Amino acid sequence: MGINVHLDRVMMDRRVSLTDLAARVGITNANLSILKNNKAKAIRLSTLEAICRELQCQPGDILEYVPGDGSAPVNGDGDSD
Amino acid sequence: MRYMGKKSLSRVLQIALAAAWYGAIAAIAVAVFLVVRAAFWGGSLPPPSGIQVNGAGLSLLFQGPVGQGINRTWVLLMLGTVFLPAWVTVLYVIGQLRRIMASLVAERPFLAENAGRVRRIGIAALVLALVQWVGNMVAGTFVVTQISPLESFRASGAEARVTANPDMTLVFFGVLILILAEVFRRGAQLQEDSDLTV
Repeated sequence: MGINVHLDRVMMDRRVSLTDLAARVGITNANLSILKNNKAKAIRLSTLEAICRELQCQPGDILEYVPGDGSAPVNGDGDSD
Repeated sequence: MRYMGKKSLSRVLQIALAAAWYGAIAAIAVAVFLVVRAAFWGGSLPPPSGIQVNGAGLSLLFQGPVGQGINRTWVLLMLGTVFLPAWVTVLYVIGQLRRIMASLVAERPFLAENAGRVRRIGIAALVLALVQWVGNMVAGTFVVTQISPLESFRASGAEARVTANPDMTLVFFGVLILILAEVFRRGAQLQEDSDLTV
């Protein structure tokens, strides 16, 4: 998959358990586990907002785009060569 | 009226299909016994007292001894080409329907497995149409070659002819079910997307 989820890393840094975070975000343990294990196909913006609020982080801290074909990512200043 | 869940129409159908399943197994067991008896025990079956043919809302009854007995080759032919294949196909369809009903009772209709099951039921309907077509030809040939030459049959003024047309209703529903299987497949995809959305 092109999007890697680093939720477990942020949860460890903040010392928050899966059960605790699931209860605070308002989703089930099973759904949060699906997200943490990179099995999710989609995430609602409301869920992402709640996770970032509870973990005091940015979406980029949790989600990382990895190109699937191994090509280099585009630079932040717009240069693609 | 509830259609899915533990106390629903699906549960009622699930119970009825379970009964039909065991009934179909019993019918196949009887057919296999008759085939073995006709093939290995020799002789011919005692002549029936008459022949009744039903179809398309019409019922024809010929009463009178049907010759000296029915040759076992005809019994094997009719059981092997019609009765057994039809009942095995029906048993298969009942088995697929039981699994579908179980998923409806669990309120999970849109499973990838159900799409496959519906598709297989559609194919089975087409197979049944073929079996019925072959069966009509075999039964019709039996009537024309074994029954119509009988003096008692000719004296009644009746005439027997073989017209074997496939049951287009069954073919239509088979194709329709195959299309519904594709609908189920799309539904299963949407269900999976929904299940994996957090």
